[in-house]
Amino acid sequence: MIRRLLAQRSAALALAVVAGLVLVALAAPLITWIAGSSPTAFHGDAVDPALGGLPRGAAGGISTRHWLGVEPVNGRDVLARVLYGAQVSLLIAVLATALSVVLGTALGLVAGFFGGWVDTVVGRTMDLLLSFPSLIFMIALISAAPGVDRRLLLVVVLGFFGWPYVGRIVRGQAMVLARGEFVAAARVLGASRRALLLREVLPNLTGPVLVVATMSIPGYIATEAGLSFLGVGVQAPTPSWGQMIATAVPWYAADPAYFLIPGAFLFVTVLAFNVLGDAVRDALDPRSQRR
Amino acid sequence: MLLEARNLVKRFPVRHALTRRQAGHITAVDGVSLDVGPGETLGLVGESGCGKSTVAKLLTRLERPTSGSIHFAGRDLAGLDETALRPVRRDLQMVFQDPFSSLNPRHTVRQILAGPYRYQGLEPDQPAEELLARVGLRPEHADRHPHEFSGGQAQRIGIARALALNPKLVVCDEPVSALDVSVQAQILNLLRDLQEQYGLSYLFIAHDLGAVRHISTRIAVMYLGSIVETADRDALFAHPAHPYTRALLSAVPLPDPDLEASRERIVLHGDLPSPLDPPGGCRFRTRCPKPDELCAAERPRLRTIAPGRQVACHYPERTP
Repeated sequence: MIRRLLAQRSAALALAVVAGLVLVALAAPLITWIAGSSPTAFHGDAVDPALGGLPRGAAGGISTRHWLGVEPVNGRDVLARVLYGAQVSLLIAVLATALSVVLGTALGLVAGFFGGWVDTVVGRTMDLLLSFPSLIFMIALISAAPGVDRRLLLVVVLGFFGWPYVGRIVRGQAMVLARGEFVAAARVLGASRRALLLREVLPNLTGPVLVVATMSIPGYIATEAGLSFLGVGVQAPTPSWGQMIATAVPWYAADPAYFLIPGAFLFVTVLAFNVLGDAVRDALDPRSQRR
Repeated sequence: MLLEARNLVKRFPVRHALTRRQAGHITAVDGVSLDVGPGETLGLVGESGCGKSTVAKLLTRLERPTSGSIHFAGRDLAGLDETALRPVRRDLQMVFQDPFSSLNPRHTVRQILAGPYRYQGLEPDQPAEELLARVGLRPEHADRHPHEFSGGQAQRIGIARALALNPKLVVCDEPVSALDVSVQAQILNLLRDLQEQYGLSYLFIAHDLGAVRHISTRIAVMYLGSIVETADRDALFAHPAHPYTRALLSAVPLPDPDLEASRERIVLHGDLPSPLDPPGGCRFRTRCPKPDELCAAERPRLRTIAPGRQVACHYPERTP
């Protein structure tokens, strides 16, 4: 599978970008130490109070001290905030994906395998969650829960609204697999329900689950950025890309670099994950012959 | 008798597509009784949709019969739950029609062949290599996945899995229908050799009389959910008593072209009637060459016309 994946040039590039991002996010403390910056330290001397707090110097104050410039007004280092923001964004997206995959696989599996009333209950719950105006609910819920760690809250809320997307696919696959002759063969051998689910059906679901998981990560990154942009996501001083973009909006004309840098990171990350997701799907599907 | 099934009935509810209310039912198996003795092979033949696969699923309790009894190893399996069935399953195994879909594509052959012991909570007493050798495969096949095999090899793996627990009876549900003709004979010979070696009994289901003739000691012919004739193999082929059996036999190609050209062919007209709305009286009368009022009025019961020979027809062909 890995070989099939890497045979696609776009996939190899996307994988490299994703790996690079993860590496850079993990190495954030090291890189900021080398650059001599910190994501939370204010640098009043790097901004010009006479111009309303605009960074001194060209392109948002890019200099040898601040490689990607500084924030307007309080002068926090943009590089450090982007890197620590990557940690936060990726971590939230990966954990929310993990939560939705675990919930979606477990519930979709039992719904598809057993059918009957289990399927009815799980199926209606998924329909309800999918038709729910989840963004509005997330905004309401998150702003109504003060004092809770916003990062944790985001993971739980994103995962809770995301599992039906996984569940729907797993349910359909499990339904087909449950009728397969190899499941009947295991039943004739005396397999328990647990063994049928975990040993016979579940291993056949890894492919589709892997694809939805890869495809849902960019969605969560974007949603987290969106919620932070709307002010209900990650709160300062903890940095996040969406939150940086939100604070950059009033400055886009005077200081476009401050807007473009986190925007570019977000764009490249989402694009790379999406390309990777497509490639994983193609690599797992023997019928889609890549040209 | 090793297995005695009596008056097995299986009805499936038919629901209205929109209201989900039960609109009727299909009687897939309608009062089937059959016996399989130790070391014997009972061939069960009939065309697609006659309910022979449902019989296989009832006997192996993949489906629960609507009514009737299945006496096997001193117990009635018809009403047992899965926990009570588990130990019985060691003696009652099944080989499936499609060798590929009956093997889990994510498992290696070794994992597939460990399944029987694992599911029965036993220590494996035969390593995968030993089981593979029984069915004519090599030890190095153990670490491959099913898709790396040909259809015939995959079916051998299915047979090895069925034999792992040393069963007494193996239900073979069209085990060669999905295979190339050249491979069919190899698998049939393998099944026969294994029968001699391990004293197995088979219930061998097929729609092809040729395969059944090769392997069976006795044959039962099914039509629309019921058995219409049972007889010893040679008696059935020499003197078919039921008009349906006669029609089936006349469709078996003969190797001699002169004989083939000169013989009488009985061609059945029309399709198998819908099991949703079977004809009254004799089920076969809509396609029978010689039906009369009695056939329309009264359904013939399976009755004994000679030792070891039963027919469900008001006017059976004469047998010597």
